[in-house]
Amino acid sequence: MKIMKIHPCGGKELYSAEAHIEEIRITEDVKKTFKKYFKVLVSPDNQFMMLEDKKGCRILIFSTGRIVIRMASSEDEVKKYFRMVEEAFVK
Amino acid sequence: MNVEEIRKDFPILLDKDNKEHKPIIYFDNACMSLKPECVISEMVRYYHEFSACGGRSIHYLSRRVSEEVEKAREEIASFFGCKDAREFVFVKNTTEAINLVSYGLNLKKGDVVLTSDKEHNSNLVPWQMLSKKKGIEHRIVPTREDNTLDIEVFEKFVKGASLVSIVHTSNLDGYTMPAKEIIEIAHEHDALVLLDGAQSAPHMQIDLKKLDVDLFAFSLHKMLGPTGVGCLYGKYEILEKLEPFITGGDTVDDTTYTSAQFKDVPSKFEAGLGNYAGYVGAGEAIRYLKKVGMKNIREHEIKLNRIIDRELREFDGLKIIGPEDASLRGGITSFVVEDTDSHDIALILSEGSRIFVRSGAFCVHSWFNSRRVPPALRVSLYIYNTKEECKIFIEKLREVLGLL
Repeated sequence: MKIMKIHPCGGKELYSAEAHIEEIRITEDVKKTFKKYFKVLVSPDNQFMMLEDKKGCRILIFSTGRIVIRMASSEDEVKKYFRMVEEAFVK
Repeated sequence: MNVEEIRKDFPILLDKDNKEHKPIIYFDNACMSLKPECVISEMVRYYHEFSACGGRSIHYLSRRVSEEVEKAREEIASFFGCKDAREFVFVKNTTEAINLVSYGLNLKKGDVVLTSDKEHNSNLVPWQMLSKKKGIEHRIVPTREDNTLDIEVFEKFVKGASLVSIVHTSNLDGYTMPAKEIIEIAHEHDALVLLDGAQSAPHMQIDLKKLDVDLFAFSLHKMLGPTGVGCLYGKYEILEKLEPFITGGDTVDDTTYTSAQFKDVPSKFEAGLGNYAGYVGAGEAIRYLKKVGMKNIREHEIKLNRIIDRELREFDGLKIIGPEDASLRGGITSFVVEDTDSHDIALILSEGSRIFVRSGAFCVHSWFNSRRVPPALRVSLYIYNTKEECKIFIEKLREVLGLL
């Protein structure tokens, strides 16, 4: 995974971030894994999924390889979520 | 106006360099327009044929640069109904043009500058700075609930103003201010008028002489032209009095260790080596727009915007910003969707469908903050957009909102 940027957003000590993974395939296994930790939304064509934690942080995952984290509460949380995404997709 | 033929002129729409072989739908024209091949070629022509500096050296290449740049300036002047091209100063963009005026007018403590309550940060922050540094009064005329201007309210606010610096067409909602009335009233009260034309110049026919505006700022990158090229138009006698913002090379005829003899308008404002490739590219962009015809462009955008407006009004919880009549919003429709994050929508449209719209506060944060409106989505159209693209956008937006 290549982390492109992590930066403050929303003026409320929240963080946004962007990363890229070479290949993303949104499979049933991946969905199951994320459902343990997040509210999961997946487009019918499996080209996009959105994960939301209890505090409102959202992780947008696109089949193009782009991963965007919005409204994370800290930089550490951003890094933790990127690791989770990487573990789920990069075998 | 044949849109299909026009689209062939824009390499980015042709798909040949598009690795994913998926066409793009570009609806972020209020930020930046796409570039036709002829503009790109014109810039390359500068680098191939005469890539020297203008205005300084006596040799052939330098003279050629100067001739080509002045030809571009004349093209731009005639586009705006002006005979004297010296009234057009090349700058980087609208922002720089407004900063040039804010610096160069030499406003003093107590002078009043009037803006509207929906200015781009480029026409807000410079006046806030002058307010802090020099003690000018920055006065703000409120618009109606639907963002239109009540000219009677404007007349009350303009009393005592030295300068009215106001958006012509808003990048927030596409609404065009009644410029002619604003200028007439301002002049009756001895105030100069600077119009922020960044969003009007690319989309409608403007005769600056008939409008009788004193100063007019615009960016070529929103008019099919290159990035980094804008203009400040000013009546010659006003530009003569305006002080240069950036000084140095090629702004002066002569210097001693303690003094400088400034050149005439516009050279005294154009310091340092210019963006010559950009200037000649800008001239070509203007030729292209002239060929298509500004009236045709305006009609085309309104026609498409009506389609988008009509469809969006069918969505639950969606609120359009600005006047209800789509034709008053030119080629722009901005909207918010209840309980849905605009950035999420824009991201999904981009990554999933290669539809590019703007999300956020569009550099008009002050309006969003004062009206407590959350970040919005903006669709902004131009000459190469089609009905089919509008329909696909609506369909994909419906899918995204269904998902979220």
